Amino acid sequence: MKIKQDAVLKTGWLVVACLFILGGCTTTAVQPWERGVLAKEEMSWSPNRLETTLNGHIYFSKEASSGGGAAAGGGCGCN
Amino acid sequence: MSDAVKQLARSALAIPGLVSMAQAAAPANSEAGYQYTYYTEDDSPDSRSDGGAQERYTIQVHQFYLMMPYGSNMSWDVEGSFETLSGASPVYTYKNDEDVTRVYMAGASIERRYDLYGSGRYYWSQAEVGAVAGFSVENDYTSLSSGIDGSLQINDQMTTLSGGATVSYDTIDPTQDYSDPAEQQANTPGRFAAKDQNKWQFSVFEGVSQIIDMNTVVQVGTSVTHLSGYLSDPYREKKGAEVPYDIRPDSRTMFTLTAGGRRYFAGLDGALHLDFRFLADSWDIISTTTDLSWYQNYAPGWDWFVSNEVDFQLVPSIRYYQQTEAYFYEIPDHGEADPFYTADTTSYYSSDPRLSTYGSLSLGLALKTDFRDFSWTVAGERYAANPSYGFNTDEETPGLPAFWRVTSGLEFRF
Repeated sequence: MKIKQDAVLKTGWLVVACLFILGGCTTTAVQPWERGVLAKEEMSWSPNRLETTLNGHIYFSKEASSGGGAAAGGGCGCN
Repeated sequence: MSDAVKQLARSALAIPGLVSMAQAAAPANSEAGYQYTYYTEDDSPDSRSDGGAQERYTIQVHQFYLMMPYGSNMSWDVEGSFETLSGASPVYTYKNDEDVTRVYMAGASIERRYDLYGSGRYYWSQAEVGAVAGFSVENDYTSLSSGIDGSLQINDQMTTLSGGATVSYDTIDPTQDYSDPAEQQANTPGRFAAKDQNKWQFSVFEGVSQIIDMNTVVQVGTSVTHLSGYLSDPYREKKGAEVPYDIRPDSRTMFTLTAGGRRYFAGLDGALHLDFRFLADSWDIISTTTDLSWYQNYAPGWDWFVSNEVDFQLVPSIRYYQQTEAYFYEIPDHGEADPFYTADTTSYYSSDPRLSTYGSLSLGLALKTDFRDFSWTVAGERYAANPSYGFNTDEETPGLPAFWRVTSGLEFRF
């Protein structure tokens, strides 16, 4: 148990480090008129909202892990 | 703000797993969608099954959503689903006199579940906030949940900070076949113990997304979720046992780290999606989830297709998941004693295969067809879980699921 707690703490620091690195990274400014590709639906994080909901519910019911953002799934998940 | 930037903001903010996360910039149009899914699990293996039915779950799911702008700075939406489940599920796993791992299956049953969520959002030029509330109802289970989230664009809108919190409260009222409490305890000890129990869940999350160049966007996120209350599975029980066959700690804390990226390849007119999640929790479970998808566009140049705005998108995907077992996961040896657990047992224990060391592999394929303001999607998925996929060659876990899923959905923008 202690080993796993240490792993969690180390991972927590890793996350904080990643956030600082990402927040501070320098990239070439992409102007609004250059963002046509980024605006494409296939570039979104969740292109199909109902599919995202369904996947969250199925994997929540069948695996011991869930979330990664807000709480995933509703219901017992017993089956 | 241009439509392209608005669409970009909507695209770049959401953290994987969120249903209605930050969208930044009020939507210009309304959307509605419906999706039907047929889901069927492989039968439990004949050579390792006891008890009720070998036919595991078949589930039909109907989902819908409606999203509409309200004024120039607000939007609201509703999303819901209705599902019917029929079939059987594993009750417990055990080793018999010959040390063979077997699964005791429940009898086939039919169940239903409904859920409905409503949310509203307010938008500024470079920030937004949202709130969501909803419920999920089964005949033996009710869940109420709510949440808030927000986002802020900084660094010339190259960087987006987002975060939020959710809370849910669930009540459990397991079905009982016996009216007399003494009979309930003797015949359904798990359900008897879970009667009128509840649980709370709190979750906070934050994320940062960053535009790298004209074709690339990445993000990282983290979340902490704490559950407290009755976290055992009331239906994992053995008739005649003195205590339930599934007793878990009454609290659990989960920590996740997520990372993702989207990269468009102009020469191929396709986009690569990569998402990763690391999870560690207070039950000693550590898991990783990796999703990889390719979005291939195809727009025929023939007149009829062009004039009717018809184009296609093919999406093959692969998902790999692996986890370590919970510290209280164990398979009782009925060769040693039967019933294995007694009222004197004080430790936590569960033979739920979902708490074992295993991995799963999923392959998916989807085809989306756009026609003017409509989008029609047909998708299929094959999922299989196995201890060996999680590099566990020491144990058998015959209760792990494998399933097929077929989905068809229609979206309309107006």
